[in-house]
Amino acid sequence: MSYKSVTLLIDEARTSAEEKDFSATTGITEDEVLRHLNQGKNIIYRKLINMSQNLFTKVKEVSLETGQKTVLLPFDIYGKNRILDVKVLEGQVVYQVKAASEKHDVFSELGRPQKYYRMSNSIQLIPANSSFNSRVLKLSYVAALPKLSKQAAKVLSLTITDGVIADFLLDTSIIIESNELNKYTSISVCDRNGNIKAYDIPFDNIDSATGIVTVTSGFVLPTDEIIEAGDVVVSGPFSSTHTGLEIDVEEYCIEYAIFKMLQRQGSAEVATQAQLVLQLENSIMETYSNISDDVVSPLVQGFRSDGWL
Amino acid sequence: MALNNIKYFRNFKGLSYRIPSLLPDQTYATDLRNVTLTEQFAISKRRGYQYKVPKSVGGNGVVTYYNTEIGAGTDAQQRLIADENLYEIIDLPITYTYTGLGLNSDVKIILKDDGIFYCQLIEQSIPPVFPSTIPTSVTNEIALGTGKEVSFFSIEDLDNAVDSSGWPFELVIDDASGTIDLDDYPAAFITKSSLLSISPLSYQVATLIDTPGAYVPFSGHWAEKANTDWELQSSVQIHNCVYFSNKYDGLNKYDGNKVYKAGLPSAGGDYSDSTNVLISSDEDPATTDKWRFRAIYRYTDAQGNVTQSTPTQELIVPSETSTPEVQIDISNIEAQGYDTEDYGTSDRGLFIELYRTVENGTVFRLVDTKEVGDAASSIITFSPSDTTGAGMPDATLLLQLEYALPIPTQFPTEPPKCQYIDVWRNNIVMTGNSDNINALYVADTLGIEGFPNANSLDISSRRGGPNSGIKSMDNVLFVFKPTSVSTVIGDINAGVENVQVDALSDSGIGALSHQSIIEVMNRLYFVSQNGVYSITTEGLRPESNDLTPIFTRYRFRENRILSFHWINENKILFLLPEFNGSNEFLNTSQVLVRDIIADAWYIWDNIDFSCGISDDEQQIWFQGKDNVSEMLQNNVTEDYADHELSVTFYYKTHWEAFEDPSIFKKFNRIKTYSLDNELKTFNSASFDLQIETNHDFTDNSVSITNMVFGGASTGWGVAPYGEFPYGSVKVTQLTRRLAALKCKNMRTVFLNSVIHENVLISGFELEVALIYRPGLRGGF
Repeated sequence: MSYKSVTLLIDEARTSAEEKDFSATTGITEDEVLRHLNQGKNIIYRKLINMSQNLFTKVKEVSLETGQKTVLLPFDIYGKNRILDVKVLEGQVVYQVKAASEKHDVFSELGRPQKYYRMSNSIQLIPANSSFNSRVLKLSYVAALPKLSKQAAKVLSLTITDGVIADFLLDTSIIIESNELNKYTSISVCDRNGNIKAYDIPFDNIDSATGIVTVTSGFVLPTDEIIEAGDVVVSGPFSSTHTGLEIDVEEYCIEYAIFKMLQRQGSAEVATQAQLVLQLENSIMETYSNISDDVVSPLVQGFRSDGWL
Repeated sequence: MALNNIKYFRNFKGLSYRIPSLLPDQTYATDLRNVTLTEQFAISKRRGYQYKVPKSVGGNGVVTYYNTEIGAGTDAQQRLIADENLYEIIDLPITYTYTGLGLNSDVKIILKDDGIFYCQLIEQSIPPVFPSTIPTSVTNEIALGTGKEVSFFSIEDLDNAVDSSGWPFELVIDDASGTIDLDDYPAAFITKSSLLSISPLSYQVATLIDTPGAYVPFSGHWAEKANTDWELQSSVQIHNCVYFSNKYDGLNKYDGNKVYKAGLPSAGGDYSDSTNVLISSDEDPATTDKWRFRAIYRYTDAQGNVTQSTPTQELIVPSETSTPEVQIDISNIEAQGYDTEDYGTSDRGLFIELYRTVENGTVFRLVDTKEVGDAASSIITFSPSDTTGAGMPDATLLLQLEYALPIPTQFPTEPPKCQYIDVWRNNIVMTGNSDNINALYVADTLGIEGFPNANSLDISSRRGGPNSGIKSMDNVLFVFKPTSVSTVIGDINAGVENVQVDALSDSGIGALSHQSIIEVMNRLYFVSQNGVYSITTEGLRPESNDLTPIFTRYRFRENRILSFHWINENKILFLLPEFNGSNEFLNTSQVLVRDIIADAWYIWDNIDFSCGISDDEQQIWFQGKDNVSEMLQNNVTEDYADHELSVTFYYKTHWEAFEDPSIFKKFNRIKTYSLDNELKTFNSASFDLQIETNHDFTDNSVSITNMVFGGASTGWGVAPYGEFPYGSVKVTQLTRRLAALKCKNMRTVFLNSVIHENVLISGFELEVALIYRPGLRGGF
């Protein structure tokens, strides 16, 4: 699987738009090009999920414990509500868990969950899980795409004890983009391919000189998330250095960014570029409209390969 | 939607504050500093300068004197500066000996980017030491500072540092046979070297010019220098001498030998009324006199000019008197500043000539001459008993017709004390006498330093005011007051009635300072209250309309305005000096520069020639409050530094709005061309050009980008640009993206403040997107 890093996307877009001459005071800034790429990515993403939500389906499996009533929704669920399907597995037997509302939550006894309703960032199982047999909850949902962001730093070292992060150091031998990091109050950590390994890590301070990251007290890293030396740090709670899209869809992001840059220039070429973007959009929609609904997550590949898929 | 390229390719015309902001003229700048235009009217940077002589002497004017060698007919140019004394600036060589193993060696004085001068002792091609096989070069350095430090690193310190360094060099410094104290001269003032050429090292010193006795020629004027109305003394050259004039000390001259009082007092004025000398004005010469004497001073200067004083009154010797003596008291003549040196057998020097009539005669004939320098006492005595001299028989005297004393001209005892001096019709003219503020004095045609009373007239003006300057052009003498200009024509030596005075300007235009008046190519420029004006055969003409706001905005010291014609750059410099509350010159003072060829105006700063400026074989040298300096005109990139500082250059174009200042547009890119001429005279191998943009009539930088003309780090090849084709290819054009921001109008600002870098902007163009529809909306 081949993804282009956001740096490469920006470079390709700048080259085509003849916008490689830039600084804080000249040309189009990196932030702005990044915004155009994100905008292009979001446009094509929305069009695709409007055509078929299954194109971005992901599945989360949770081993239920006795008495468990609350199951947290995945961090990357689109709109915090795009649940497609909930099932409970007992061995080889699959039980459908149907959507209900809070008024149905009248059971006080434990049992096999049969209904659920959403509450904030979780679903509530009705009834709460009993100890009979081991059960696994299987949650299918529409995955959102992370915000594109440039690498802001690299992890040098840290220790994680029971989810508590200590001695978190960034590599000072490469530039630490402290201005970029301080735009948000939390960071994401990816591998070099942009696969997000840890979300929304709140911090109080990042010292660009020493590389010391002061993680907000009380934060506990979920057990299914991990941070290792050499990982890439990006700014924001849900950010990645890669789009997570297929190459042909990434192409749309590039062309859209070119269109926006030509528009910013007031270039006469903007009309032609607009037509190209539209043609590209139509061809992408046509291509993915032919993919059957049973294909799971054709676009989002490689994400959560550590067990989330 | 449309994309336009607007091109700034036409000849640049410098600065103008007169262009309408909403209808720009691309050829003019809205603001600039230290800009000049090349021969092809490309935008470039003015040259820099280096300090040469510390400020411990001078400050009262500078002049380059053409010292003519009588007989040979050749001349040597001398740089003279004055304070209460007169000094000559001389150049002394510094050489070195090298005892190392290198095949080549060199000693250079260089200025680095850190603003510090260094002495580099360079050994080239030193034989390799096994196992290396490559000859090496070694550059040893000694930091010299800037020379502006209170305890500066002196040339003596440099000499000692080289001696104690252990390096195989020894400096050989000419100290004028021990008369120069090397501790008095900063090493950083040694003539700067170029990295790309070999030039001999030298340094400059100011040596005191001799005066008669203890005479201090300009002491009266110098004592007043703290006054705000103090002006530089003026000078002029005529008869191969230079004359200095101020209203306190009167007229002094330098003839290449000494500086001393010009003119001569009447010998009668110093005549000793001793008992042996009969002054018998109450006797009837026609009946009772036997002999009558008259005496004059005659002085022949080093240039061979002869000056005679007004003859004494008649010294009447009655016939009944036996052998009276004529005695001339010379005891005060040297103390007054007149040259009394004994020049031996030559005709030079000061003499007393004694004339006498025959018995009851009327024609005075020369009977004896005695040199003042030969006098054994303060009284020179002529005895009628000397039959070959004062007592020469009448029959012999009658044969001396060729020595008959001409009808004596009645000079004042000495020239009038005037602030301003010039030359008109081969005579000295002066004005600016404190007691006679309107008086114009013209020297006698025959007595070159004599000013007959008849050769004086008042120049009046309808608007009044004292005379503030004089300058002749063609056969006309222009007499300036602060608010008027008068012309004087005719021959005053033929009588005042043969002179005609007319008002050229009586409407408020006049010269604020004598030093501001300058003649360039038969046009007389001067600075008035609201600008620079000129006088030609067509009359009075304003020259600086483009810059008029400067004259109303800044408060400069009017009587210290100073002009200079930089001949080989075809420019006229007008210094508008500003002083602080402590009466100190401010380096922010502006120099208005008139480019005669380009018909353009520029503004320069950080160049202080408030104490005088002159040229010497095309070398420009000047003095300000800080030291004597010399413009760097070696046509190398090292020319571009103001001693240790960079020459701050900026050029701001006019606001570009496409005649639609209400409509947004986008200025996307700028392309700048840097094209040398065919003679390859541009002198910086590479340069950085910083480009900024201002939007919407606001002087804030929006785009800030940089262009590096020259390519590789070593520039356009290691050798001076243009000598060899190899190496980095010359960059002739560069394009940069501007800030992607819409604006209604924009101007471009070019900047460079890098030591030892000139810039060359032949033209530039802007890519502009006109994408917004016309319409006026509320707000701004």
